[in-house]
Amino acid sequence: VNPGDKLKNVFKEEAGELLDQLEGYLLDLEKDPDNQENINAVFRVMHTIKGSAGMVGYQNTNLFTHKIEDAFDMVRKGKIPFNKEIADLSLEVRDLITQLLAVEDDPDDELKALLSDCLKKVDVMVKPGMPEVVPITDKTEPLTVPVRESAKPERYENNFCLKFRPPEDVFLRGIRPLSHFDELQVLGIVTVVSHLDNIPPLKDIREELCYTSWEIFVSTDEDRSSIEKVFKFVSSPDELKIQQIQDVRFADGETKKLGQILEEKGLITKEELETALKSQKRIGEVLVEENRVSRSDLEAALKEQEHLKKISDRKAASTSGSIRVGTERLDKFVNLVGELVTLSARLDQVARKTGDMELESVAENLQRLMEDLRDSALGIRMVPIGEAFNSFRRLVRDLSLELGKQIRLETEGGDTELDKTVIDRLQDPLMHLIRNSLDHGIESPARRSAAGKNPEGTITLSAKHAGGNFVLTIHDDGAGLNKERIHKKAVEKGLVSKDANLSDEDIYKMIFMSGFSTAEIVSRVSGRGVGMDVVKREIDSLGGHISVTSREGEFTKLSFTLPLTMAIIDGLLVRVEEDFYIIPLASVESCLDMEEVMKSGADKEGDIIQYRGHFMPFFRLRPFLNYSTEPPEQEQVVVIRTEDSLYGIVVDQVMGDHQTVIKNLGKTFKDARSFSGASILGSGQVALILNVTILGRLWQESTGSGK
Amino acid sequence: MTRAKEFKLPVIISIQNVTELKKQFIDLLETGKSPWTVDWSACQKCDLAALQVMVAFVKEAERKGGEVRFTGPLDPNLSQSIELANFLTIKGNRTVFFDQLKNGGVVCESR
Repeated sequence: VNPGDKLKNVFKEEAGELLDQLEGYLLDLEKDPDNQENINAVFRVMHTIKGSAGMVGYQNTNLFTHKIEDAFDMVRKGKIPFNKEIADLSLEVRDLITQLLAVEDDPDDELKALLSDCLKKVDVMVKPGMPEVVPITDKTEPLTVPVRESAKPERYENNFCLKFRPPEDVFLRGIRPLSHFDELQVLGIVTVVSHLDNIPPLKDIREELCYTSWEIFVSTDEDRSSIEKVFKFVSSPDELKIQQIQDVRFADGETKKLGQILEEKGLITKEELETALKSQKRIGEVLVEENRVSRSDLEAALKEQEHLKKISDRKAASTSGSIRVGTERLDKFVNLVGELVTLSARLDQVARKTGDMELESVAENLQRLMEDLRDSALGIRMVPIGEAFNSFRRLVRDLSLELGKQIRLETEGGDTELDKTVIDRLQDPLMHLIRNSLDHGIESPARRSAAGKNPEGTITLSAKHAGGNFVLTIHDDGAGLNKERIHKKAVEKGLVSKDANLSDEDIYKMIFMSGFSTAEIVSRVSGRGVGMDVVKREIDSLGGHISVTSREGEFTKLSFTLPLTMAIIDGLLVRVEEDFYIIPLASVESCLDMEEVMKSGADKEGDIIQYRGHFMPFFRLRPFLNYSTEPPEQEQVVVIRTEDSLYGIVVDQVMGDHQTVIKNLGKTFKDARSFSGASILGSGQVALILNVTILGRLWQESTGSGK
Repeated sequence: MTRAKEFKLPVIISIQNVTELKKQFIDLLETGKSPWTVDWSACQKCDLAALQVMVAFVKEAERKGGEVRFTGPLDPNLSQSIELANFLTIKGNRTVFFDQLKNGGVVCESR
């Protein structure tokens, strides 16, 4: 990869993240259009993308974003209020930038037309304040991008406290102090505290004099000279004092205390602070009551504290000692750890064979270290699900509008971590289910009102860890599932017999059958019955299971229970003949001796045994996997519990638990549905991993047995 | 019961007409009753000189044991510059005018 391409890749990756953030800011602004911080954030994102695009030579992206940035600057300055039209247009802009990046800044005619249309809309929005826009062409000239508009994110490295006291005659000199705060805001994050104590009573005030002074906290990546430029009209050093704030936080990560800020400002002495701290009241109240500081100074100190905390939190969130590592490199690392785990197991086996105590001890220590390394490696792949949740906000917004519904998306447990691979694979199933909830779950506002419900429906995505698994729930407070209708449809389609004795959940789960849909009208959004079976298949392939609960007219709740990782799992190693198989330990309920089972009354040739007071079907792995040799005298039964069944698998021998490094089987084995992967044992032998959900079903299908 | 008179601010309040504004405020305090209401809806421009007079007006009203209520809507451009200068903060649909004086109850609802 040449350096230019590398830079472009970094830019695209960062721009992608910025565009995701942008979407979040815009969606927040829709709810709170006056939120100046978000308006500024939108502007900054545009500004950064524009600058970075220019740096990597993405001329079209640069020019397009430049126009949009100009338009949003007018919103920022309050010349255009942020409203729904601007929200829609801004989201369209965001999508177009995404498309431009996807085609490496080389739009085809269709995309060019979309970009030009969008710029025309922007032009209409900002008129008469904006010059006519220039449609994007192949011949667009790159803009000169100042160095400071680089791809680096804002880190607010420099924090300044400004004391600005304009001279009394500032108005008479034709200077308008308020206008300079707006200029300051371009530099970064600004908090202004005005001191109004010196304003005299109304009758005594001399209108031509300035009585106000300010304390201004600026956090920026710029240096002191940039601030001085804003105040270039200042004629005396007494008017403006700029002090750099060195420590935003204490070493222990705590934000500065109010007392320390007041002491640093020289407003109180250390002794006064200590006396005030002894009081039961809040320190600020005590100091004001005792006239040690004015209310105005207290207010300024509180604002400073608030400002520093904001900056400190932002820095912590943006840096927090993290580095960006490509997924491919991470996967390679985890794979290598997997290989080491395997090799360590082999060393352990060899050491035992040799009987060399010293070697055994080394192998044992290595294995312990490997366990730690494995956990750390897997931990690196764990990311919070919150980002994936946020990506659905836009979907819910756009589809709600399209469907004429009022729907709110709520999320819980966004901090819950899950393997990135699993999160990526969950994206499509989740999108499908949310679309279904939007289209078929949540009713129209009129229908909801008529049913005495809030016209605004809610879809809640929640995540949590439970018992070593990850549980994801999608809940909507919509119309719920109609049991009778689902059952009738399933019977009509021949998916189930009319007389089958089914539980409520059995009926609900029919929505996951291939070709099943009860929707009367097939909409563009969903309702073709294509997808729910794919959702189920994907969850199955992730080793997860689905549960469905619903109450008609009230809610539908889908829960997925998934393993935390797809790279290394705890498995149970079993043997048939000379071959080894691995059963995911999460699905194993218990292991029994076949002899004991026989004593409890099962027929050796039959397929039902008594298990904990219930009849449980079982089958032998030997004939199922086409072993033609005779079984050993002593066989063992592994009791498997999947989402929808409990059954036993008879094997020659249960070897014990095994840290299973999962290897893909590759395309050659894509039809071998009974196996979800393979693992290499310490001996170097390959063990296939059984997909117990599919295996149970295939066996049922092959024998025609019910549950 | 006498209904408080509403004072409508002109399109521009600045150093140019602040003397007139001061007189009007003094007159308002002498002739009217609390709560004194100031309507910002027509105002599009307000400079620091005018804001200082406004602060003095609010302080005087408070000293008399009364309160000033502000009605809007406030011009977005204006509100932004006033807010940035920390003379005013807008929280949700409430406009809290003169941050330093909010303990005195100088609060109004934005329309």
